[in-house]
Amino acid sequence: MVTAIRARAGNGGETVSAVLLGLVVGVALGYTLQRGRFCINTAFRDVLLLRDTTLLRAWATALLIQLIGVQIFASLNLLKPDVPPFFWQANIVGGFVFGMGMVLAGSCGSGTCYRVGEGMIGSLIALLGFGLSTVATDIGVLKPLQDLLRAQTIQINGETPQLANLTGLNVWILVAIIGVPIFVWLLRAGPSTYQQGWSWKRTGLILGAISLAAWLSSSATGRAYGLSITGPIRSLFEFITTGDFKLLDWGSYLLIGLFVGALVASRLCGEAKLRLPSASRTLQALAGGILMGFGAQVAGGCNIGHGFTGLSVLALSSLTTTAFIVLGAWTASFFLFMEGFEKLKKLGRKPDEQRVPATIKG
Amino acid sequence: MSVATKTLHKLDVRGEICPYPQMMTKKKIEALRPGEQLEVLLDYPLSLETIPRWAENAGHKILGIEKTGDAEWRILLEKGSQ
Repeated sequence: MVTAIRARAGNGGETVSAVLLGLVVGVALGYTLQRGRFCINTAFRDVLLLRDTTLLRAWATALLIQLIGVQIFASLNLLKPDVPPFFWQANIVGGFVFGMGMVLAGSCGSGTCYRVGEGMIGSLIALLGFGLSTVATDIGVLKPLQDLLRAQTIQINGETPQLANLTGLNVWILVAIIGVPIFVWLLRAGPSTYQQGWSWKRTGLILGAISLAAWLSSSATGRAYGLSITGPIRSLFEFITTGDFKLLDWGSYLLIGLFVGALVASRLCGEAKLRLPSASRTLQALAGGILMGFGAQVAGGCNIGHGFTGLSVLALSSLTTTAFIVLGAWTASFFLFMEGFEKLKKLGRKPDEQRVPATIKG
Repeated sequence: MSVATKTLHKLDVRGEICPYPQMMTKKKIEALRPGEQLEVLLDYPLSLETIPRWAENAGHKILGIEKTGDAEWRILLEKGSQ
């Protein structure tokens, strides 16, 4: 398979290293996501639903490591990180739609992928919706909507906005301002008593290390970015539908590796099984996947590309998208799981009841 | 033993996706009387973490967590007094 791809793509050495490096990082990522049950959807949602911040701490730990590591790499000139463009309307709308979609689907971009490895058919259906929707938004019927939302791109003196060029502060001062409070918060957290998979600390530390390995190995193949999920899903689906081998890169192999890693982890621990939710829940997962694909594609990334990697380069687009992913997730959770409709109805009823006696009854 | 006299309720959330297993468990246990027990059958690894964590924080007793097969678990809870 490797030779076939090499011959078609025509740039042998780089392709082979993209295949190998992407696969290795992907397998490690899939294994870690499965053992740590690392799902950003759960992390963001359960702050609201169950007042549980365990997964949020795993995410913060990994983010802190990546934030510091990437700045070190950049200052050593090992790589020059790409900063995702700030098309603010697309970041806002895309983030919000993605956030609602992931609550409907029951998992985030990366969460959907590792659950496919565990044998969850609902997640597979969500992934198919996700993939179809990214392609439709990128090159298909939804492209006009993407063009509209991405029409305004904001730059600062010809550069993509991130916190350093926005504030004029030294990047290490920014890292300290953001990093120290997170670190203090993490130190204050107690251990979890009931733990079947990996602890949040272990998950966070390993995921942080993998994120840095991703930056280095992906840069070695000419892709100056870290972990991402949406781009690779889109490329893989575009490759499948167009047959264009040039679409395959480090990210595509990362994604394939992720499925394998999650499958291996779940099989080794007796957690792999084909599981199918009810018909209505499967349909809900499909709808969620479609919303996620559209939102993430428009915004230029999901909870990983923006909500993890993009945050580590302090991109304004990633900060905006992540904020709206959280808002979207909380909005959907409010309506789906916190009797939001009933609560709103109660709020709306009061003024009506006051008006009734005067106008109608009289 | 006193366990035998306590009412045991059952909840099967196998096949459910996130966060339905934990939300259904929460709803079910809230309808019980303190001291009553709830057996939850599940096959969603993430809920295996979130259900016990939530139950403990909510003041319920975790009587047991048991792996009953490939990707299947049984959690036995007892409703707390508050």
